[in-house]
Amino acid sequence: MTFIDWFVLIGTLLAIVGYGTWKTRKQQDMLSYLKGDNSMKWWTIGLSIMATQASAITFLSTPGQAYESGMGFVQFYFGLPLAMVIISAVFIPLYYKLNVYTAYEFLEQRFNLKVRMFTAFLFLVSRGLAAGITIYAPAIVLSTLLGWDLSFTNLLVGVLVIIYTVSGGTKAVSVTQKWQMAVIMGGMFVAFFLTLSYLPESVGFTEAIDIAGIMGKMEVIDTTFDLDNRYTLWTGLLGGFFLSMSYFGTDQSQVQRYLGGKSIKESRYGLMFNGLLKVPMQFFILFVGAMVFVFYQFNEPPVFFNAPGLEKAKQTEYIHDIEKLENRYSATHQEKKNALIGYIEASSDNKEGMKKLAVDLYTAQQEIRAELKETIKVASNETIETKDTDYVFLSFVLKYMPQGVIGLLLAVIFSAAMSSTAGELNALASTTMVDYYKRLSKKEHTDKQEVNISKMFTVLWGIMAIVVAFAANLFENLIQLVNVLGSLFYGTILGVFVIGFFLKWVKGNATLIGALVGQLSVLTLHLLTVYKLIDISYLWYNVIGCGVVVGVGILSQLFIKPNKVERS
Amino acid sequence: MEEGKEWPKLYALILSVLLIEIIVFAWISSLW
Repeated sequence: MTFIDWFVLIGTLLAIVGYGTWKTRKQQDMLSYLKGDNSMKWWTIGLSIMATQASAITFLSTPGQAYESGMGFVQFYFGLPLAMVIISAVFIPLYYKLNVYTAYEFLEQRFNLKVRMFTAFLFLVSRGLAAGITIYAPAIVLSTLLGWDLSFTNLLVGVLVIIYTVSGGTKAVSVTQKWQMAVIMGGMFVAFFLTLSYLPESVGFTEAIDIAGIMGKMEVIDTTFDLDNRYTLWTGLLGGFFLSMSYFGTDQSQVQRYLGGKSIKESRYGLMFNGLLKVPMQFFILFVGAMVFVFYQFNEPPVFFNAPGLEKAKQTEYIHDIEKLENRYSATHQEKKNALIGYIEASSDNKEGMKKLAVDLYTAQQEIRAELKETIKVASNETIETKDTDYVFLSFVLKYMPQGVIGLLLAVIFSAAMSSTAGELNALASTTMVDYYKRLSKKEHTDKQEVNISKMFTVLWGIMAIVVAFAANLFENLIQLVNVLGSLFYGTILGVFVIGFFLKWVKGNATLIGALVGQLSVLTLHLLTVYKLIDISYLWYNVIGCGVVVGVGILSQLFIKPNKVERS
Repeated sequence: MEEGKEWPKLYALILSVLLIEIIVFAWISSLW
């Protein structure tokens, strides 16, 4: 990294943090600190919702995903617009009517204190751990490829986020997210156009898409019914819908974004904005990855994208095996490159033959890559992660992008990490304050005291996130666990809210039994999957968890004798 | 709600856009 890159990176981050802190320096009471004075316009809400969801790993991992397996990942977002419509029509009016600060406040008004506390607890556990991983996941990639100290990267993101989230609360989170989204999208557009400009002269935009297409990278829709396959039209529509319903409708880190709206109308428009733009945005990020793939058809890609990991594996007795595979990969690449140039320049009669040759050579290259990964696994005694999709985009950026743009794209990754962490810390603090401290404390507090206590909770959750980020390094499987973490709890939380909104005759105690049974069922399923006794994609946990909560809730209501309070 | 009538139209718009996207993506997938 050059001085210009550092200047762009540090300058962008400090400017955003400074702006957020300065703009929101006068926060006097809970309404302004936790709900941004109900002053947010729809575009701020919309951008804020998108920025909270898109974490750094989205921008590191998604292009790599397209490089490796094509554009099918976009199907994962098909359930989202549908969820936006239902949340906007059913959830938002109720939240506004009850004038709540957190989603869980609604549960006490609808059921009882126990249901509220239990659901808020599930949120705090899952989101508290996830906040740490939001910081850790990009830090590990950045520290591996740039040689930065992992602790430095963890602290940089953690401390910067704490500064403005503590000082300005919800409003600071939203106003900074607006600029962070601008940096993110601006950076991705620059990366896209530069990648296209790096393609050989004979390869225009249409040829690039054609090359991605013949190599199977443009297969967006998969209509097969396969429970193991994570990304099909059906898992996207159904699993994605349930996941989006729980995440946007009941997760405080999202609910808080739209509760800060100036009116119910602004909040709804904010959600519609997200529903309209999310799928095209994800498609675009994947498309950047597909273009990086095309670029690497004419420029030799590394056989394994985690270069330091490869070097480590080479320090073992397997060095000769690895080098042999590297040489074979390189030779196959040259042949394939010539075949592709032949394909582009060939007349329509010869096209098919050249196409088949290129595709066969690509398949051969993929087999060599798989063999190399296996060798690395054996050489390192499985200590090196062989899934290298997270490293594809950043190693491309670092090797080929010009000075200044590298800084800008690192700012994209940091902005994404900070925007989602900020949303999470802000929501964790609100839930701790509103659902636990304020609800259970018998003391009266002034506005100023309440704001100060909320600030203290934000700092504590920030420190907790940094601690989790540090601890994540010690537990290799934690990353994997956290990937499924949301889905472990979301089904239950959604089930509680579904009963709350749609089944008015099911009361608190029955719902609590349903929630406990639902949570235990999902945890059991997960354990069975971990020990390979069954095999279910984690996206289905949301559907199953929600179904069990609702089913058991209904049955319990039919069989338990309602007590006096519940009858009334 | 005073602006009651505009919402169903907006919801229909969002869902129609999704449907069009799925159709376009399916068409793209069928090209190769």
